[in-house]
Amino acid sequence: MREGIRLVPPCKGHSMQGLPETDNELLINLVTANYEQLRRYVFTLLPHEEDTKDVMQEVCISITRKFSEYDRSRPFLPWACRFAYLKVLKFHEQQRPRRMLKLPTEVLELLAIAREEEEPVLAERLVALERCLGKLRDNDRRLIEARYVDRTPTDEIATSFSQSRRTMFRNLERVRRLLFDCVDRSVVLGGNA
Amino acid sequence: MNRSDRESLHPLLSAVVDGTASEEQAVELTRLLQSDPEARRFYVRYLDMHAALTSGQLPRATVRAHRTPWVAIVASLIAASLLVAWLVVPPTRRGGGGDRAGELEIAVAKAVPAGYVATVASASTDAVLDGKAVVPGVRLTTGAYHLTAGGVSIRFDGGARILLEGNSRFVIDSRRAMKVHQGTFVFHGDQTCESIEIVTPQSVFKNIGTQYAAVIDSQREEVHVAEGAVRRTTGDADDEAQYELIEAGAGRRYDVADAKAESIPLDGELVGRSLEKGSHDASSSRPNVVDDLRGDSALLDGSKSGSGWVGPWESPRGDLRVSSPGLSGEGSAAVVHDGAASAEFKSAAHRRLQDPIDLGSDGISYVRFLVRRGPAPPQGEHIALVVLRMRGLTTQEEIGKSALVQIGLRKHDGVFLRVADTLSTASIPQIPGQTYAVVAKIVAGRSQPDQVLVSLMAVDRLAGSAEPTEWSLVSEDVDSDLRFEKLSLEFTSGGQIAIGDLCIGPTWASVAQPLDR
Repeated sequence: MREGIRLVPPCKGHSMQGLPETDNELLINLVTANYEQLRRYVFTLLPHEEDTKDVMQEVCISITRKFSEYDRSRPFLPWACRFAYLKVLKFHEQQRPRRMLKLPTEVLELLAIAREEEEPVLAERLVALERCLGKLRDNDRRLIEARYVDRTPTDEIATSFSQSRRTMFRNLERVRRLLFDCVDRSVVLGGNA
Repeated sequence: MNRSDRESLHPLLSAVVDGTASEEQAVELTRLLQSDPEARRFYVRYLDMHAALTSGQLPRATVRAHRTPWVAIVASLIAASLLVAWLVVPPTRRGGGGDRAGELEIAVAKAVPAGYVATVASASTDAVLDGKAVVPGVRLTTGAYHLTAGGVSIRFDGGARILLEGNSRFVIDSRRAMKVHQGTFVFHGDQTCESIEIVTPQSVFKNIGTQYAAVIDSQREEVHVAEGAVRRTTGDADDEAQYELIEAGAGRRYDVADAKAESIPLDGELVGRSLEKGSHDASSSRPNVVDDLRGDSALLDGSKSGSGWVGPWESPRGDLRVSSPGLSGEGSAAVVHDGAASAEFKSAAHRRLQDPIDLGSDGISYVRFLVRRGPAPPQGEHIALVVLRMRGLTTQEEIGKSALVQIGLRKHDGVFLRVADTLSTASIPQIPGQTYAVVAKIVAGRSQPDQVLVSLMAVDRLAGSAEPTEWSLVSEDVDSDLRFEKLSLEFTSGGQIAIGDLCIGPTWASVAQPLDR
């Protein structure tokens, strides 16, 4: 897979006035270092990319405002995830998510707990995912690149692969299943799958 | 989750991430997520994989606090020394280091299922829990408790606090759930704390960023909400959808005999109760090991500084020197490793403790030291370590038996904690040249698990501080009878590292004060 899109520096444009210079620098470093994990956390609870972007903006604002209350002897991510969780709940209450799946609050809470419990496993699965991507057949890898790296619209992917939309979605499902099962095996076997 | 559910989740989740899920599929997915923890785990893993792919970047290993995957750590530490490499491979899971006949018998330590979920934050002097006096700092596992007298404030690991008063019978089910069968409790939480579900004989209470109190007995239940709101259900599965929201300023009474509920005035005195008066004063306790590292010579080897030790410091290579002033101002001293000025990038010193730390008996010890690290060298490690170890073991035997506790800092932002065969790490940014205090709380249990918690903080925040509500690192629970009789200072760096003001005491307060000089 060729090199993908670089992240725009997170929280860019949000005012951090009022924070001492060293706090400001620390805030930027911490948010930058943890942005991707936070984004994935939000996406788990709100599986729509645009919704996730909206919530992440709100999360960054909250973190900036409340940063003076951050206890530096504690890891940053769990602290930031609490804000993210509350912002997801607020998003659910105040806006109509741009997707069919609207999970009840009770389920969101159960998923947030499951996500927290799974974090160590997820880190391990990410490492395995990289290995598994390298094992895909050419056609399957091209499909994943088109969908995730090039972000080609699904209609265009179907056309370029000479497939119907329905077949293309089935193929995406199949390749994701291949990856998911490969990651499962890889984690169980310690990378020897 | 059966095989069929697992099979059905693939198309359901694929449709969700592609935005093609039908209403029926959404209903089916919600049903599965509501009812099945396995389905929730599957969902989290699937969505996380999709989210990682959408980042447009190649997935990278990411490290987070608690149980870092070995594979990621191994890769990053490949060039480190044997001792450091040993950090990353769980010995008991490797099957290495088998016993040889006639050698020292050591109980092999191993991780056990999570047990500790809360800490006694404060206790009145007359508090009696399960027939024993209780002191602040005691860790609590899941299980049933009876507070017969006094009051205790219990801080759950998710941040919420619950003050209980005798006579209270309660069960801690997990870090998010407890039962109160009888007694009075006051709940304190806010939006950054995990919610706690409290089940009583008549009710299930769930806080929403709250301060509330409840009185529970066999005839009635009362709840008084000072801040936030409380969601109450009866706990009856048929009525689960029906809940009552009790908001700030309100009080409610539920009568058991006639199943009546009525509004009552808020009892401000009850909700405002705290343990400040008559609670334990731990500040009078003193550390039993104190070492300001000031000796007769400029070298640490042979120094008889401090108290609470047997014999002098031993530094086999003899290259560790003592520098003054150290890390706490005029009159202090610190042991300095200078990897840039020396051909050796590793150095170590060891000393025998007068009173061993015994994980085979009930007790709590706090180990504190100050550390200052210069800029991390461009290549190689930058590790400062304090190690508790047994006596009379070779390095190979230590590895084989997982017989140690390591508390350390590495790279520019790493904090790590190894307890027997478990490793916990966290990324906490540290400024080169700044002095930090590291405090490790070692919870030893004869019949309960052992656990170590570590706090890293800027040194000026330590003096007079209270035990933290949250820790930088918390180890997994470990079941062992290890007895640590030796403490080592170990350095692996091509840069400068100084350690000073070492002490070990029975309470947080005993190690949170500057050393007497």
